[in-house]
Order: sequence, then structure tokens, then C-alpha cells
Amino acid sequence: MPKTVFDVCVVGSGPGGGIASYVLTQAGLKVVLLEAGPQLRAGVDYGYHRSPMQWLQHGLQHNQWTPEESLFRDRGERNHFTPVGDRPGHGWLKALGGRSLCWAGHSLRFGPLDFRTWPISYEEVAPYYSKAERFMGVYGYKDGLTNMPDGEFLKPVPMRCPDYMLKRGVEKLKAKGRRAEYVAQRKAMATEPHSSGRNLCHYCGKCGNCCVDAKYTSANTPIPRALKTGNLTLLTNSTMTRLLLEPDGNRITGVEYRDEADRTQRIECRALVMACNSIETPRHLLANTTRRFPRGLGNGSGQIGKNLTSHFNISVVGWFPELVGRDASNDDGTGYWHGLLTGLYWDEPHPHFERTYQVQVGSGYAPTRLAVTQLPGYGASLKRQLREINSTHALMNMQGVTRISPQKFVDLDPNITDRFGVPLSRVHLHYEQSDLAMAQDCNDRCIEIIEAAGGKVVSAPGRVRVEDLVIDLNHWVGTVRMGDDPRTAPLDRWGRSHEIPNLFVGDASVFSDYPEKNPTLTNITLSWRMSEHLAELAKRGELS
Amino acid sequence: MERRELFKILGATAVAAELGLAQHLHETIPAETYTARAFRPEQLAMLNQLCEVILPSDEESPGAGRANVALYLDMFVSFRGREMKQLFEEGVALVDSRSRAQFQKPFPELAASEQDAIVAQLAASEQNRDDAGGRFFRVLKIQTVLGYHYSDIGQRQYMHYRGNTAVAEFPGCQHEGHHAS
Repeated sequence: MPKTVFDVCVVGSGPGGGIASYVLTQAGLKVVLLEAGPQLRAGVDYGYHRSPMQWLQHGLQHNQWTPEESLFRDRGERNHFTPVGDRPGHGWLKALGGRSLCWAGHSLRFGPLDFRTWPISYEEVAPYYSKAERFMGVYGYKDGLTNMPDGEFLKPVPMRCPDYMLKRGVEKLKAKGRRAEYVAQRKAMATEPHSSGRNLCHYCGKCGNCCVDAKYTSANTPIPRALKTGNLTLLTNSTMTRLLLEPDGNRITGVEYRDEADRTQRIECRALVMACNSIETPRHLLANTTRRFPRGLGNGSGQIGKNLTSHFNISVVGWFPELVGRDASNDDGTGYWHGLLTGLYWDEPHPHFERTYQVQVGSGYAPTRLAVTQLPGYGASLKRQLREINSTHALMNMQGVTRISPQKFVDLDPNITDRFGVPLSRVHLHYEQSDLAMAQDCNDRCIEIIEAAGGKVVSAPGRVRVEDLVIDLNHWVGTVRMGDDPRTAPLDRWGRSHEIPNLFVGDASVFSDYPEKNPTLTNITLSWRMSEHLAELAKRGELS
Repeated sequence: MERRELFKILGATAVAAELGLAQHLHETIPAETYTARAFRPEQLAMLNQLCEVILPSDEESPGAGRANVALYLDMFVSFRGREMKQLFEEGVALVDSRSRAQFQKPFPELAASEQDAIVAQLAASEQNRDDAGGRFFRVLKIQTVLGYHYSDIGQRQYMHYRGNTAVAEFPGCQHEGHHAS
């Protein structure tokens, strides 16, 4: 290959890296995108509508137990980090598009209150939310909520009967002075013709492996359009192994990577965008040290790997006798989750926990083991309950923010490296009283709402214990956060290193703080904003 | 589904055509032939009988035994390994010995009321982890429910599920009574 110096090297092709490649190439910059995994084709390499029994038989051949397809489970990385404490998990899908291939598409704007602790305000971010939503194709209703602002929406997807039952319960409690809202989900799926040209959603409910590319992914929208500019060089099956710096350690000069044929290669670039994920980006920054940065690149603040947080959950299942016998023979829709309980503790914090949670509500006829394994008895009555409860149930799944504290962080494993000699990351998770109090409040609230709605509880944790808490392995953020003060944050308000002027971060590790809402839309939005800033700096010759 | 109809739903873009989606999408893939890995034929027969008592046939649909949920149990046990296999083998042997002791016949030959009596004994100790029969029944029942739930007979014929296919619109809840607060 003739020696090329790229304007920008983007590492990682997930939600953040995908949009960065698009924005930067549109601006005329020569970009190389490094992706550790292969390119997969929707409907060819994944996305099959087999029956559960067929999936089980298929899975057994690969020693897996799975009644449905799961791209994430089948192709996700294993044993790529060391868990410490309360069962931290970490998801990583090595493929072009990363975890945007398997995400559920939930696209909720963070609100004005959520940005109070950030260096940037909602008003500064809002225009980028609009750009991102228009580009991605996000459906939703205009709900007019204060702290989950409406966006630029495609035709909405309505709720199911159990959602309306819960909404009724919420309205009853609101009449008694409680604060909560029950609304339909907002997702990045094409429900009407869209500028991306993606296929329309056909409501089969298999969104985690969308077989027709109706759901937005980095692989089906920004990356193809970046390639069309002629400014993008795409390197798949190529794993970044080392960051290269000038001898004085002040600027990035490129990266070293292992190519498809397992040869060590180098790329030279004028700027670097790290978009690996909130565990891998800090890992690489910590693993690369110089005399100037003995604690990791751009880590003068000592904050890289700190401020780790994710969402965690518990589940409460209810059912509604009123709905028995409803005709719901095909309500697969856009997957299990159609409803959302939100608006909890937005402006009145709870005395016993920090931040807040939302509750994603799943329902529908498609077979899920969730609602049917706790039923009493056997025989005709069991058979009757199986249908009644499956068809009328609602699963309320908390999405709460784990308390940000020294109990949760990422560092390097001193003993284990990957096959390229890079130390693995260790993910430390220790739940605290605040976390337990949040889950307890959620348990109690969900039961209250189900009962207010005339429903019955099938299962709930009851008295919540640490063992009941389940971490969201795909929602980690905060490990390379933005902030105006270089002493307390590695990145500036744009996502650029305070200390290394041509180092940028485009994944969700840049989040300064975390609300209860799903991270991906904001990750894409902030990466878009960072990329425009980078392009502007490049145009002005201010990258060094 | 008609190819033409599918393309209408998808918006008939070039992408769909290129990928040949119509050929693959939502077509019924014939069930692979499954050969039992964990159980012998007589064990499978007894498991199907137990499944049938747990979720019986009625005028609406065949029960779990007639839906051949024993094959699902075989998959489950072969996946879970030695300890699970032992739990099931001992459970099946226990059911057999109780049948012979109480009714002088193997379980498959018992009258319906006699089979029900044996299962009722197991179910009575469902929550008792110190009872071998209870431990077996607890796992057997959950897995029978799931196996039926995942089977075409359970899902489509009994539960009336018509999804896992392409539709042009998703109407959601259309019941005005549900919308009133």
C-alpha cells in the first residue's frame, strides 16, 4: 500500500465511530475506519425467522441453549475483560457496526435537567439531536414531557393493551399526586420512507437481528454513505493494538493494528477518534504510557477509567384478568418493549438514592419464558393460565443508574493480556445502599401501579437483595468524561483531550453524567457534534 | 407470503432485491430431524405421558405429550449435562417404581385417574427441595411449560400466536375501553 497519511483514524465502527466516519468524510476529510470484526449482511449472515424449536436444535449444534436468534449472544466477545465484584458484564460485538447491529433501537433524548451536571447544556446539544434523529429515522409520539424532549419523529408505533392497563394505573396514581408518565417507546426504525433508503419495518419483532435493515445501524446508514464520498478507507477484521505518539509524547501520529492476515501494520493520521466503547477506550488509553503520561495517555487528571456507571435492572411481572381472551394473535410489533414508565424523580430527588430510573415495559404474545415459569399447579388449570398470563402480561424492567462512586471503575488487569500483549481491562462493580434503595423503590412502585390498574403480580423480587440486581452489560458510560476543568476531566466539552490536541473520543465514555435514558442516541449525537468540531479544527489547521 | 406482498411491505428497495430477501425471509424452514441424545425410547414415552398430565389435551388443542415435548426435554437435558440427566433418570425411575408399587403396572399403562394420582403426589412436594420427587417435578413442570410454549402446537394452535411474520401495519391496542383512564 502506498504510504498515506489520513486526516483522521477512527477506531471502532459502533454507533459513535460510524457517525464520526460519516460526518468527517462529508466534511472532505480522508478517514480510515478500523473495525476488529467482519462485515455482516442483514438477512444473509443473520436475521432468520425460524421457530423456537428450530432455533433450539440449531443452537445445540453449537452448544448453545437458545429458543430465538441472538446476534449479540452468538457473535459477542467472551472473556475479554476481568469482572470484579457484583457480577459486572460487558458486551462487545465485533462486527462492522458493532453493537448498533443488535441494539433495541430505543432513542430517548436526555433532557435539560440531565445536562445540569455537564459542561454543555441541552440547548447546545438539541440541534445535534435533531440532526441525528433525522439521519437515523426515529419514530415516536410527541409527548410534551419536560425532561424527555420530543424529537424529529417518523410515524409512531402504538402501544399494546397491557401498556394501556399500566397507563391507567399511572393516571390513577397521578390523580393522587404521584409524579410519573406512561408513554410509548421511541425507536430508530423506518416506519415510513426515509432519506436513508432503508427498508420499512415489517413488525416481526426480531429487532435485535433486524433482517431487512429497517432498524438503524452504523453498518446500514452512515458507513455506506461515508464510503460513497470516496473519502473513507474501511479496514475490517483489523484490531488496533497500540497508539503511536511523537517522541515528546504530545501528539498522536497513528496507530498500530493487526490486519486480516494477522500482520502488524501501521496507519499514520493527523487526528485519532477513539470509539471502541466505555470499557475498551479507557483500556487502550491506560495501556499506552509515555514519560509524559505515566498513568495513561491524556490521563493527567487521573480520571480515565473512573466515574464508571451503567444501568441495572430488576423485573416485576404483572397480568391483567380484564384482558383475558383479547385478540392479540400477532402483536410482535417492534419487539417486546413498547411502553415506558418515566418522569420518576426528575425534579424531586428521592431521599434514599441518587439519580433515578425508568421502567421499560415488555408485553405481547411472542413466546417469552418470562411470564410462565412461576405458575402454580398442573393439568387443565395450568394450561389455562399459560395462555391467560402470556397473552395479558406486562413485564416491568427497571433501568436505573448505578451510583457513581469509587466503588465502580475500570483499570488494567496486572496479570492477563490479550493475544496482542495488551492488558485486559478489569471492570469493578460493587453495589451500594443507594442502588439497593432505588431497586426497592422500583419494586414497590411497579407493584402499586399493576394493582392500581386492576392487575395481579406474577413475580417480583419483593425485598430486593444485591443478588437480584442485574447489570446492563451494554450501557456502560463515563470512563473518559467531558469537563471544562482538565484537573477533573480528561476531555473538553467537545470530546477532545485536554492534553493531547489531536486525540478525540467518540463513544459513550465521554458522558459527564448519566440519566436513566438509553445511551445510544446521545452517543451518536455527541459524536456528531465532536466530529463537526474536529472537521472545523482541521480546516483551520488547529489540530496540533 | 407472496413475494409481491412482501416487497410492498418493505418498500421494495433495491437493497431487498439484491439480498434476495424474498427467498429467505419468513419462509418455513422444515424442522430438522432430531435424534434423541439423552433418553431411551421408553424414557421418552414415559416423559411424554407425564407431560400430557401436566398440560393435557382438550377440545382446543393436543396437550404437551401429544406435542412431543419429551423431545424438547431431551434437548434440554442433553444441553445441561450429567447432573440434570441424573435428576431426570432418577425421576423417571421413581415414577415407575411408585406406579408399580401402588397400581402394579408401569406408568404408561395406568388409567388416567391413576396417572393423575402419581403426578399429584409429585406436585404436592413441588416446593420441597428435600424431596427427590418434588425436585424432579419442579424442573419437569417448568420445562414442560416452556417446551409446550415453544412448540408449534402450543404456540400456534393453543395460544393462537400468529406472529413471527411480516405485516404492513402495526395497529396496537384498538380497544377504546382500554384507553379510558
